Amino acid sequence: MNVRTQLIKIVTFLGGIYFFLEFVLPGTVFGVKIDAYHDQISNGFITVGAMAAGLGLINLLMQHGSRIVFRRREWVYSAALLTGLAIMIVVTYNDWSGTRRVAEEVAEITRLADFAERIRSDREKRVEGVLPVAERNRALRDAAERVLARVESESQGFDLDRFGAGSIDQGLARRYLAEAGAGAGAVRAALETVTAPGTDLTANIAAARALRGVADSWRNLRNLEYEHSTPKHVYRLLFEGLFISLGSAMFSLLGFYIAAAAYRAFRVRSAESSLMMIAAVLVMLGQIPFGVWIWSGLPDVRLWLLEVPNSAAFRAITIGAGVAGLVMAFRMWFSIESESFDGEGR
Amino acid sequence: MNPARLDRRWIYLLVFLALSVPIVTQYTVQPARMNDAERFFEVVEGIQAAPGRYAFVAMDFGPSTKGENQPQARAVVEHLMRKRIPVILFSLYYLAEPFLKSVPEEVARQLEREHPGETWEYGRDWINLGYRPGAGVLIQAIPKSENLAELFEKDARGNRISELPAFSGLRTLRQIAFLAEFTGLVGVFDNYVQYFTSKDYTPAFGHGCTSITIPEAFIYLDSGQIQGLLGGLAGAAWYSEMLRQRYPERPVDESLMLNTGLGVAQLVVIAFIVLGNLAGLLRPPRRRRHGAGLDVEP
Repeated sequence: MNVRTQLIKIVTFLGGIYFFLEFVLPGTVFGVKIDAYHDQISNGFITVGAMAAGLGLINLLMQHGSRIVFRRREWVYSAALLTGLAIMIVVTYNDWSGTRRVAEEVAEITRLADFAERIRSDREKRVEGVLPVAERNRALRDAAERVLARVESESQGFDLDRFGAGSIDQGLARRYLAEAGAGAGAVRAALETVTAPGTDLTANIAAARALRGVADSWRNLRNLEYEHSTPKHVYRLLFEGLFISLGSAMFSLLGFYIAAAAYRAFRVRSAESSLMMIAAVLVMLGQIPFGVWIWSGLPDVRLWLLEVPNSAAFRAITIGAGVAGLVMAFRMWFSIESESFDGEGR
Repeated sequence: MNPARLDRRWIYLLVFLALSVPIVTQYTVQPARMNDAERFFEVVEGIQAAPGRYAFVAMDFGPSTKGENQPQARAVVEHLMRKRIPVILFSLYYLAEPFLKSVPEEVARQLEREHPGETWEYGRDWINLGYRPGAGVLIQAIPKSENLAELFEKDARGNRISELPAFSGLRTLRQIAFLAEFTGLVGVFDNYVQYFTSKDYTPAFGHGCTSITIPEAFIYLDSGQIQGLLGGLAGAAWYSEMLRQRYPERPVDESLMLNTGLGVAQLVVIAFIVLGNLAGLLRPPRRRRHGAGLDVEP
C-alpha cells in the first residue's frame, strides 16, 4: 500500500469520525468545544466539492480539444460543444459582473449610512483614537454630496422610454426615480443638521435612515434597468430561451414513451398484476379533474391508497435502504469499499 | 387498425392531441380535491406576518421537472407574498437559478396588476440567495447559525443581506416560520427533513414533489415530518384553485389549464391500458402464452 492510498484512508476515517461526532455530541464536551472550527471545515468540504466543476472543465477541454486538434471522427460536435461552453462562460460572466456592478454602486451609499451610525456609536462608547466628531461628520457630508451628485446626474439622463410606454416597469422606474430624488433631499437636510455646531448626534440616525432610503430606491431602479439591458437579454435568450426549453422538451418526451409503454406492458396476467393495475388506475382517476365525474369518492380512495398501503410498503423500503446505506457508509469509513482509491487494486 | 399491432406513432399523436388541445383552446376544468394540498394551504394560511418572521422557499428543480415543480412554487410564493410574509428563496441545485429569479418577479407583477397602487419589491418582500453549493453540509449549518444574514452573507445579486431592509434582522432558525421545498431530485428533500431543524424548534414544512416521488413523500406526511404536500401538477392545480377561492379577484392561472390537459392525457393512457388488455385477451391463446405483451410497431 503506497503513501497516497494510506493518506486517503486516514483522511476518510478522520472526516467520517469528525462529522459523526459533531452531529451526535453537544457543542461542548468536558470543556472542549467540538464545533469550534465547524464552519471552516464545512466550507473546506464545500470547496473540495466545487473543485469538481474545475475538473469537469479540464476533462471536457482535454477530451474534446484533442478530438478537434487531431480532426478525429465527429470532431464537429466537439467544436459545437466547446463553442457553446465558451459562449455561456462569457455571457454568464457578463451577467454576473453586471449585477455585481449594481450591488457595488448601492454598497457605496449603504457604507455611508453605516459610517453615519458608526460616528454616533463611537461617540457613545467614547472610542479613542478616532478623529473628532465634527471632522468625521464633515467628511461624511462631503462623501455623501459626491454620491448624491452622481445619483442626481444619472437620474436626469435616465431613459424611461426603454421600458415601453405605459408599462408596469416604466411606472416602477418613475416611482424609484422620484423616491431617489426625495431621498437625496432628505439626506442633504439631515447632513446640514449633522454638521451644524452644537447638534446632538441623533441627526446621524436621520442621515443614516435617509441614506438607506436612497440606497433602496437606487438599487431597485438599477436592477430594473439591468433587467432591460442587452447582456441580460442575451443571457435570457441562451439560458432560459434555449437551454431550459431544450431541457424541458427532452424530458417531456418521456410522457409519450410512458403512454406507449403502458399500452404494451400494463398487462393483466396474474392476481398481483391485476391488483397493481387497479390501484394505478384508481390513483390516476383520483387525481385527474375528470375522476369526480365518474365517482366523487375517487380522491378519497386515492388518498387512502397512498396513505395506508403505499406508506407501509414505502416505509419498509426506506428503512431497508437506510440500513443498507449505513452498512455502505461503514464500509467507506473504514476504507473496506476502497477499490476506487486503491491504485494497486487495479 | 389492428389493436394488436398498433403503430406507436398513433399513440404519440393521440397523447399529443390530448395534451395540446385543452391548452390551445384554454379549456379548464376544476381540479380534483387534494387533501394533502389542502393541508399545505392551511399551514401557509395560518402564518401571521410579523417583523422578523420569514418563509424559506427552496426551489431545487431544473428544466426536467419544471412542468410540475414550477406551478407549485409559483402558487406557494404567491400565497406568501399575498400575506406579506417576506420570502427567502434559495436552491441546492444549480439549474434552478432562472426560476429563483423569474417566479417571484412574475408573482410580484401579477399582484401589482391586481392591486394598483400597491407594490411588491425585491429586498422588502423577497430575496434570492441563489444557488448554494454544499447540499447537506450547508443545510446543517442553518440551524446552528446565530446569524443567518452573515452565514449567507450576500444575495444572488451581490447585495449584502444585512443591507436589505426586510432581511437585515435575519438571525436564527427560529425566525423561519415556514419552509417550503420543491424538488423531483432523489436525496435533496431528505437533507431538509434531517437537518433543517434544531433541538427545540422545527419550522412548519411543506414539500412539493413530482408525481413519481409522491409515494415516497407520503411517508413523511404520514409521520408529521411535513405538514403539507403538493403532489405533481394536480397538487399545484388544487392549491391554485384554493387560492382563487380565497382571493376571488385572482385570475385563472396556467396550472389549471395544464392540469386539464394532463387529465385528458391520463384518460387517454387509461384507455390505452384497457384497449391493450382487451387486445391481449382477444389474441390467440398460443401467442398469448409466449408473448410478453402486445406488439407495438417501432
